[in-house]
Amino acid sequence: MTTMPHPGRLLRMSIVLLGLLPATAGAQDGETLFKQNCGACHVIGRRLVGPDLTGVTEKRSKEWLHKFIRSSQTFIKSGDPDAVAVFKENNELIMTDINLDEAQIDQVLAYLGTFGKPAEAATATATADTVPEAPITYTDADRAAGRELFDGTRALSARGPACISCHNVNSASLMVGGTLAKDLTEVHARMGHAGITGILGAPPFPAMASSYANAPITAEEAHQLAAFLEEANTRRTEVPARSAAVTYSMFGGGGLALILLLIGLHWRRRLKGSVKQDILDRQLRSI
Amino acid sequence: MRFLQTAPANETIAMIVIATVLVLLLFALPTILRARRMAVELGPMVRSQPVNYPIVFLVMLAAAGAVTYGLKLGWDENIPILNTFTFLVLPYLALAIFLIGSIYRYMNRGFQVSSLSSNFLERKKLFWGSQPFHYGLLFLFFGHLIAFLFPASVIAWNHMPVRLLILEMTAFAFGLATLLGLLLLIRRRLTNRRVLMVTNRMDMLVYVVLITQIVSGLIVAYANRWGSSWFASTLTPYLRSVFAFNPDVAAVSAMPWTVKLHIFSAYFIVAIIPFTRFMHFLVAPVDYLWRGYQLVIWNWNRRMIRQGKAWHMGHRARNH
Repeated sequence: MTTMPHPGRLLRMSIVLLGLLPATAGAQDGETLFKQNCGACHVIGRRLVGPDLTGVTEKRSKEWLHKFIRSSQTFIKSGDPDAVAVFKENNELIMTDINLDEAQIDQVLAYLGTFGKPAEAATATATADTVPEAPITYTDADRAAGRELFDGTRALSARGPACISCHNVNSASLMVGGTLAKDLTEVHARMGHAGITGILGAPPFPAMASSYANAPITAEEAHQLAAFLEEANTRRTEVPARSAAVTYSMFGGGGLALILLLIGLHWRRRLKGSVKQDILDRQLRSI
Repeated sequence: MRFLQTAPANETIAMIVIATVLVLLLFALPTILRARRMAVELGPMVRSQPVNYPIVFLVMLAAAGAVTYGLKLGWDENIPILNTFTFLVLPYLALAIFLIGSIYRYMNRGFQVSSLSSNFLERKKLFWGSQPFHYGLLFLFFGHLIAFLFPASVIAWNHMPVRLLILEMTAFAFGLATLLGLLLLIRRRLTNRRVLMVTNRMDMLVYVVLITQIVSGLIVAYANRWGSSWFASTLTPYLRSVFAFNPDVAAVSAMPWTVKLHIFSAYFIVAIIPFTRFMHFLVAPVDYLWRGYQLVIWNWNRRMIRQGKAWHMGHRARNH
């Protein structure tokens, strides 16, 4: 019976654990929230799309972080010097507004607070910088698959909408793309492999998040799409920017003419005049 | 309803103010109606000056432009209360007004449910206006409905770029047909004296709202393509969340202002159905599509007609 702990000790342990529960639960929720809402652009310990957040809770005040997380652009436009400086330091990449309430932001900050002080952070980033990342290699097969995934020729495995629904990429092998969201021709230069795959894995943009909420893009598909976007960026000068104006006016005008022709043909035996012109004349006289 | 829980204090206050104003309006409405009726009964029985409908139309068009501009400013700033009103309050308000209003009107003013038009008296202007307009509208309506009911099938169809292009271009052409038909119908109503006799101010509102709806739809189709795909993946979940009484406005709040205007005017159309000629789509004689031919028997003395003397016009009875 050596495995059974002493009842008193068990009780003490339980009390300690119960006392710890709210704190750990908060941090765990914070971790989940961080991964869901911030993980596309931020990781702890190194730079991804956005900067490394180690020790950020020590560096900035809670109010400052709340404002920046809720709407960084509003905060930057309000002229806060630190916010403007952060924006400039990060090549003016726009951080999207994060739709979390006060309590949830506090949980995320509590989670970030567990990653130590700026001094430790400095060493952590230093080590992260010195350790070279595994180089990303794209094969020709990746690029081809990415291109097909982008315009929908190959369906995404979870049957989400193709990228071309909202995004344009100037590429000789693609038809002109969507204009609801950003043009992605040069996205690989701005965000790199990690940024692209991060965003595809957990989209921080509300409309994109809604589109892939029940149809997530797999890591392999994200890799292939990143491969295609890298190629599109390097070959962007080969393809002039295109416009859909000609397509729209040609097909729209032609389609309209066809519709009018069909209507005219279908009702070709219609009564061309009025049934009784004299009824009309009489009515007009009575006005 | 996480959206409501996260609303900051001033937003909650604004919500309460809006709700109070709406409740007050609701209570004030019967009084206003009674006062108007009394004024009509007690006032002199002189017919008022004929309404100058082209002016009414232009004024309403200008007002719609001003409202659109104001909304655009608000949406571009992403004011939370405006998004809440447009995508969370307005849909339920519009549906409630539509349901209560049309049931009331159908039960109590049933014989008024009509588009008050007649194609017996003239054909040409009505034909080239009405035909492209109604067929275009039917195509677009069912297109939106299919994307709402079967989003996966639309996404599957669009998985070939050529098919996506075919769908988008067909819809765009029908949109143009609808706009052309509408403009011809507006010209007809404003220039034909007989049609002007059965025109009222609400008809002008109908035209202005329809122009807003169709033009914003065409702008979205061109400037925010490819709508058929992203509608199915972003707006269908939003619309479904509205019907499930658990509205999620995050995705729709991030849309460009043109899309928001299209949604706003759609809700507005739903809300004004009971007060306008829009009502006629509820009583469209759909059964004409499958009912049999009607045999018309003229109850005349056939021999007299054949002899051609007794019949006052000297013509045989023919259909036309």
